[in-house]
Amino acid sequence: MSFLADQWPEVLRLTLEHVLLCAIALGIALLLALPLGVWVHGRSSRIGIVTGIAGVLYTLPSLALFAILVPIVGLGVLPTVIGLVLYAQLMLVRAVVSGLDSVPEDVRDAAVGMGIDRWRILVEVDLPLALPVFLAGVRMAAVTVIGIATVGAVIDAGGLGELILQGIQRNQTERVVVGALAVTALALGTDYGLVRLERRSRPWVGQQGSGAAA
Amino acid sequence: MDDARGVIEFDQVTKVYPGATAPSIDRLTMRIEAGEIVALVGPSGSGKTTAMRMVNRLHEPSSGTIRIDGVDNRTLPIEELRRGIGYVIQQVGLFPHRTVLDNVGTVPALLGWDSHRIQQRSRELLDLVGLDPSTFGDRYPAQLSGGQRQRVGVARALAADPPVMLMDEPFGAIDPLVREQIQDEFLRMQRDVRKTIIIVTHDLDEAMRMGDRVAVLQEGGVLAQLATPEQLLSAPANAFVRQFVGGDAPLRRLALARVRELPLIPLDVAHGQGFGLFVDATGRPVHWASGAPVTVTVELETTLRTAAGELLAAGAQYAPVVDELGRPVALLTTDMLHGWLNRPTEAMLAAAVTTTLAQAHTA
Ligand SMILES: Nc1ncnc2c1ncn2[C@@H]1O[C@H](COP(=O)(O)OP(=O)(O)O)[C@@H](O)[C@H]1O
Ligand SMILES: [Mg+2]
Repeated sequence: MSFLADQWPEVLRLTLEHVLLCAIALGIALLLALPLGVWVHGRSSRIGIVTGIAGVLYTLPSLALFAILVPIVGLGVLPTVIGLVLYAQLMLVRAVVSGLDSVPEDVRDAAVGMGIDRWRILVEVDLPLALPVFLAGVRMAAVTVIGIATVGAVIDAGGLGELILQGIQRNQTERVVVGALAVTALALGTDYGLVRLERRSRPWVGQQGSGAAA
Repeated sequence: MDDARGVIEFDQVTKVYPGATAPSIDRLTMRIEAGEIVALVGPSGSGKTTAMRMVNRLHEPSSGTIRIDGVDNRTLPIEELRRGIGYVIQQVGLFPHRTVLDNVGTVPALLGWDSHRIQQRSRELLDLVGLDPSTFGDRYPAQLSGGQRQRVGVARALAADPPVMLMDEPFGAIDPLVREQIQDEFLRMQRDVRKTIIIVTHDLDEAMRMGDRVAVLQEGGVLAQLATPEQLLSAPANAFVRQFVGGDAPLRRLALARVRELPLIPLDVAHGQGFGLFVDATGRPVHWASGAPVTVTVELETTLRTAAGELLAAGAQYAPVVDELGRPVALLTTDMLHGWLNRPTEAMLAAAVTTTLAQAHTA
């Protein structure tokens, strides 16, 4: 543990780098997956195509995915972010679709019947009601991305993977352990935070009992 | 012509769903007057929901025209049309993420009312449907009972004061005891708001209770009969309707009227014929002048069907009719019920009554 005492600024720097890398990748992935999920929702042919492609990308080993991207966009953060974005699509598109599937049919029927236009139904009814289920998917994607981003160190993306990589190269087990623990802590922390967010995204349930009698 | 708002006309309306071989609604022609409740009733799959949903264009007719106040319902932009038509469904479809007040204010908000007016209107409507706005206004739908939710659904449909309301099995998911109460409340409310209402139900009793007229649909989406409940029961248009209203038709007809609607025998007349009543200190009847105990009484607001059941159960030919405090006000006999079913003239009824009384007196 003397390693941590000496090197904590370095560990902190790499942790922040890791967080940033993942946050950027997740942010872009969300911006992509949200319209994509809305677009495919309810159309089985579209769902087939999109999840087919995303599925192939997902099953590709992450190292291979990064390796394919390097000749195209070079080394560093860029191929890593692209790789993570592609990697997360399957989970996120699915999260959007199952979120939208979870919106009760009668609620949507009433909304249409009352004369709310499609755009408003999407923004004011579908998306808020899809949020809890959607966030559960985001949580999975975030945890996965945090883990896989570690591999990015191989192509010079920085982050906590670098600590692990150095440990292996210099045969310093402490470095590897600290790096691995930091990634795990990050993933667990994110998971916990998103669970809390998920609960808060549906304030309208779980308050029964305060006078639900006829 | 403001009071003529809300006339709905189906003109040769046919609906064949894409891929279907037979029509779900077949050349439906009917006119629903302003302020009238028409109950669409028929077996499952007879096209009730389809017919109703073509009014606010949730489905489009394959051919034919639906007019509201003489105007083809395809004239207005679709959202505008729908905002002018109240819509209530069995599963209610309240927005779970919005409070009761916000739910009720949905259409007014769409219409761009200012928030103060929306608030005021929403509270007013919660009051109208019997929910205290300060107790229920800020709750979420998950915090309401099924009956309360349905009331909020009705309030939401009425919020922008549309002349027309569409209701698809609105009370179907509510347990029977609360259902009757809500139906009654709804009818009471309708006396004030006077909407033109299409209510879909598969329950003939509900159709009879709620409908000023009842439209019976048969398989294939064919309108078998559009008539008042009484006409439907006493003069079914075809074998299907006769079968649909069933052998219970006389009992159902009895359910359509209340005791107070009969030409009851006033107490003094009854007394004069030997049917005097002795009452206790609270004014309730205890025994007849003959000394026989009073075994059954019926209330003025009871339906004839219930009254008949009570008389039968007690094995009585006649019973005192009592007011809400239990004090006798008149006399009811089984022959009056029989006479009512046979559409009596005044003279026939009087004769029947006299005979019964004479018989009972000598017995
Ligand atoms: N959206 C739809 N697409 C295809 N067929 C439908 C659709 N809705 C209803 N139908 C068919 O039309 C017929 C009438 O259905 P519906 O109007 O729901 O009857 P009801 O409300 O009287 O039970 C049924 O045979 C049903 O299968
Ligand atoms: Mg139906």
